[in-house]
Amino acid sequence: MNAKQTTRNVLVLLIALVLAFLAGQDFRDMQQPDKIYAENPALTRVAKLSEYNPNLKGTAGDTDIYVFDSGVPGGVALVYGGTHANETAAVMNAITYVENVSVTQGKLFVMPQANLSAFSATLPLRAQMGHMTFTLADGSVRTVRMGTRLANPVHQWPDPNYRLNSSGRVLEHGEIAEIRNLNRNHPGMEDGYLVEMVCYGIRKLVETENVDVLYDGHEASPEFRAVNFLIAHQRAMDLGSAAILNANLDAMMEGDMDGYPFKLDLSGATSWGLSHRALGDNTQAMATLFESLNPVMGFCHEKVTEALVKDGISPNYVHITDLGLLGSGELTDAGSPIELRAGYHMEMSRHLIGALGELNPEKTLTISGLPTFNDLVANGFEGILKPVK
Amino acid sequence: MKRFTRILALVLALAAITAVMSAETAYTFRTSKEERVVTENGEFTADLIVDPVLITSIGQSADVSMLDALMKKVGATYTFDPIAPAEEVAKYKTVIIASGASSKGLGAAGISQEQETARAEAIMKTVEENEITVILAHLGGPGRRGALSDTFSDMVLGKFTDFAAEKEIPITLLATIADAMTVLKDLFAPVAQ
Repeated sequence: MNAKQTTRNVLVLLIALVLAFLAGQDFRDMQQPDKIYAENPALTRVAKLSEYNPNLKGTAGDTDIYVFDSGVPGGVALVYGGTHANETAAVMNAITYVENVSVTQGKLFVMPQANLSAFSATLPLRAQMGHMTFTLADGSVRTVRMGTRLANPVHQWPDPNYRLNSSGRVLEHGEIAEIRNLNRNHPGMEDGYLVEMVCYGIRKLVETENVDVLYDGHEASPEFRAVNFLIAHQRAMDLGSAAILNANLDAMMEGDMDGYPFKLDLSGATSWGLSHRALGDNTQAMATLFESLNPVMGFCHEKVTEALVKDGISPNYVHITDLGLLGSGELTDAGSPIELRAGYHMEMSRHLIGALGELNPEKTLTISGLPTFNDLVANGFEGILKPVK
Repeated sequence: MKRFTRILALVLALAAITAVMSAETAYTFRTSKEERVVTENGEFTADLIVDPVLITSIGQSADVSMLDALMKKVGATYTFDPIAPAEEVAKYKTVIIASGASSKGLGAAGISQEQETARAEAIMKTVEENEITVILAHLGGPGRRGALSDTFSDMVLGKFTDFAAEKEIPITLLATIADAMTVLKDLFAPVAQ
């Protein structure tokens, strides 16, 4: 190799290193903890999931849990988002709770990033945005991380060839990556794969804190038949029915005569590993899950830009709707904006909490401080989120 | 004489259920922002309801839970048994049947589709023989309109506005689930002494 070749090779290597360094900044940034506002004076403390499964300590699964303890005996609820880190409305709902809620009877746990590892990566080959931004009234910008459906393979790898998981679900062949899906591995294992250990931590949190009602927020594709459905464990059907009815009656009282498009369905007996089935079967909690409509979850959406995530306007899905091909998640030019989607999560979870006390007065959990659905939709998150210092 | 002319029948249906039929039958919505509850082919009054009252399901969809929540809300007195056998139904004077099929609901109840069909047939025979008042309630909207759900609705009475008009059976149409409160209060709310 002569000097000229050596120089050229070194130059190519240097350029490659510079490009790798620049590209690596994005990946490095996604490993940094997200900034969540935690200055709500009603907040009792920020717990860690590792308090409930010590094997999570120091891992990418050790997510924060925001505890609001009134000190007055009553009901206990767990509201969480981020089971799937790209289902942003559920995350925004949990953040709205963290920033605004106050509890005067009972105890509330809020977990915005249930599968914390999944917030450190985006879906490969989808050109997906890694975050959303909201410009607040004071000019500051809030950035909210968008991750992916599965835990980051950097944190849990390799996937096994076969796994009979704790719920009885067999993971193999095309489904094997689901070993990194939080909503396939409940009730989890104390010492297993990272996601299994996270599931176990959630189970122990539910058991240890005597959680009465559990709300797992999700988002669904327009093709999914259960858009805007509350899926309830059989022990949570009364609670779910009352919550949906109360939400609609409240809407009517406030002059919104169309009400909410909420529907109820029973958790499938073979929905092994899903929160509403596995946590309902294995803990005392009444387990529920709600799905809002997000075109990003589907197969026919446009490029996943910040605008698509926030506004939910998808001409492709409007066309598909116009063709009459959707049975559930119809979309118009108005889209499915993040405020509407998160507002549905807020109303659904708020009314589940309300119904808990209505059906079991000794389990009353009294919360206040959340924005109204109309406030959220009218003002947007720009008018709701608080500046993070 | 066919069974539905021998029994008092009332159909509670969300107006939206007919949306799926609109393309084929040019359905005209009866309810509107101004008229949220519309009753056709007669009217319903509390004196038509005879105690005791049973709520059951045919198809085991979650709608029966919604109906239960509505009835609790109005303070009605009733028995709730989604899988009541025909011999149990015979003990009541009024039975409200929430129709709508759910494979998950059937699975949870440990009932096959064939067993549920047989139970439905036995119940309808019982209500005919005992002149039990039947109220068919369909609260699930388009999401609860499929071949199996429609079969179960047909077994109870028939679907919905066209059938009611043809047989002159009163039908109440509701704009939203919350509007059912208006109707059920009138029929089932306890009367102050």
